[in-house]
Amino acid sequence: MKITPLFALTSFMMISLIGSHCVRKTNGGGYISYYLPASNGLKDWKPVGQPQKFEGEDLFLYINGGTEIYHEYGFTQVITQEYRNKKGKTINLELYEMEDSSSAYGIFTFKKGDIGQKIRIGNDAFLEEYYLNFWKGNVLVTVTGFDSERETMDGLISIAEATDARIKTQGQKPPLPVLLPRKNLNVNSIKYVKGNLGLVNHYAFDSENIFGVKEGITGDYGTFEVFLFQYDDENESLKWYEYARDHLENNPKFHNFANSDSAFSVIDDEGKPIHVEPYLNDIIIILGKKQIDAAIFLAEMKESIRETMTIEE
Amino acid sequence: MSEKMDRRSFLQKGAIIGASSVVGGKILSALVLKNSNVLYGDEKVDISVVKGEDYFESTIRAVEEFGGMKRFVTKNSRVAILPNAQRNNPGTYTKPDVVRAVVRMCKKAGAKEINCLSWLPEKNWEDTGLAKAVKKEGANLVLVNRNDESLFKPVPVKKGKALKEARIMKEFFKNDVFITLPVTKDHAGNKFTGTLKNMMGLNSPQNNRGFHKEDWDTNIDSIRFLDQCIADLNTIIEPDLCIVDATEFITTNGPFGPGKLLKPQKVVAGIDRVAIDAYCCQLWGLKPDSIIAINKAYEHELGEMSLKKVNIKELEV
Repeated sequence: MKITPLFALTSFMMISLIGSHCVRKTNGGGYISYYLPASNGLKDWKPVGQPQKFEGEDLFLYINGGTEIYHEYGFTQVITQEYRNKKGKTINLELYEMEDSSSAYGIFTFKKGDIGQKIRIGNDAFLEEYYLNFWKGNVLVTVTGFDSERETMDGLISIAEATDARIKTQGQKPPLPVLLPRKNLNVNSIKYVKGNLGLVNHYAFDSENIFGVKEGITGDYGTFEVFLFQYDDENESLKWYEYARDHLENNPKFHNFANSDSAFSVIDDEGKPIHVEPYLNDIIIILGKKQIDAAIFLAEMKESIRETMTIEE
Repeated sequence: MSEKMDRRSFLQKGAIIGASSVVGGKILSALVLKNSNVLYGDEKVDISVVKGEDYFESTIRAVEEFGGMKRFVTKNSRVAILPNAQRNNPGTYTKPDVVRAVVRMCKKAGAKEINCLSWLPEKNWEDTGLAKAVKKEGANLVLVNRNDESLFKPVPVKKGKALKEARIMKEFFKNDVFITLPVTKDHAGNKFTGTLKNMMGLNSPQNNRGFHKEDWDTNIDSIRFLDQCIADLNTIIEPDLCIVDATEFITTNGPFGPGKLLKPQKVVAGIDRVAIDAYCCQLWGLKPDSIIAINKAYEHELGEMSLKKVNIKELEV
């Protein structure tokens, strides 16, 4: 569901009428300010100073570099608030509003690591060495402490939970992750991409967007990784398959190019074998860590794709 | 300074190079990169790397192994230092201990004034502990209003392929010696940030905005444009010394973080920015030839990107 400002504003007004929360007016303004936990909502942590809000291209003023990836996922605005406890420890809360829930899910999978602890906050949450990320509705929430001490980690969770409680909208994951067969899948490794930059940060087939990626999913199965890119129709997937095939064949990073009617394979400069195959509206890529032995897996994945298409029809 | 020097005269005049590289608006130094090393007996050192838990001590040793601070800072000189205070997220800013050591060494070398330059807000400096470190060591924290373009001097980029004019903070020109102090880390846009990219900290943020394409396009041409601008900017500013904090840094979600921390506990010193960045990127498995900015800087002949051709002295304290 796409969360529009109007919808969120309506939710916000309804919540206000119920009277369970007092709305804080901030410099940031707007409904997203409401998601920030207030002084009375937290036991040990209090807000310090005023929240800051940055919209659209002004994200550059806040994070001062590296904003492209946020824009690729569909960034709209961010609000930040600092919290402090009696000992003077600080935690920073950032709420990134994205275009829709799939964008929020996508940037969540980009920002979270693969080593951490899955916790029950929002739609998905991941607690790592000194920070946590969760997404809910069309919002990505990042809570950062500055050490890994117990009270900091507890603070991260309590601030995240208080924020979660204030975000009343729900969101759904995009359908693509469902296409990844579950057997042997490291679910923490899943990355949902919405462009080439997200992909290149994971694996660089080419610095150019040779697969024309606009939506895709990746997952790690231990002995191999899978990339699935989705297109509007079969013609489009075939067009990008052929374009990528021609590029990879001539890219010196890859060798041992082998082509058949329905797929091609190459080996990258680290000796990893790569199998690329168009299937219906998708392109499936298997990146082996040594050898690829994924015939059963491929069959399962194709079945998932077929079933999904049947349901859609 | 315009004449090229051989290694012997470079070693003799090392500090003067620093002074002359920024005087009178003539930023572009004619420093010859093949002379950017130090000679100990038969041992030639292009980059010195010191690993240790005490980052203050590691910084001192890294500079000593590269000839000592007196090689770069003359008596009564004004020294500009450029740490990265981007954010207080762990692994995203230059450690205060690294900055403290540099200020201490500059003072000991006889610097009259040490100016820590930035257009970032004071809060960044307070939150990272860098303001306290700078002041405690007796350096000046010189904060330039990022919104006032009159505080930045237009400088033509004659060799620029993408960037034709930079806008360097005027405060920079009041100094004789320039030491850049980046933290190396991940960058979600162009994969890596180090000495080359740190130079954007002297350029006006509004000018830096122009390094990025309209609508924050993420196609490869836009990323190449950004990296070309970074390399171009480096053709007009040459640090007299680069000291890179590679002690603890993020390898994901850069440059802002929070992200996965790597702790090589290394401080890297040298002059050749390209070689230093090539060394730093491979600390977390990146190949120098996969980093566009390094390639572009190499094309500008700003340094050596093949680590096989660079003499790296590494020690552990």
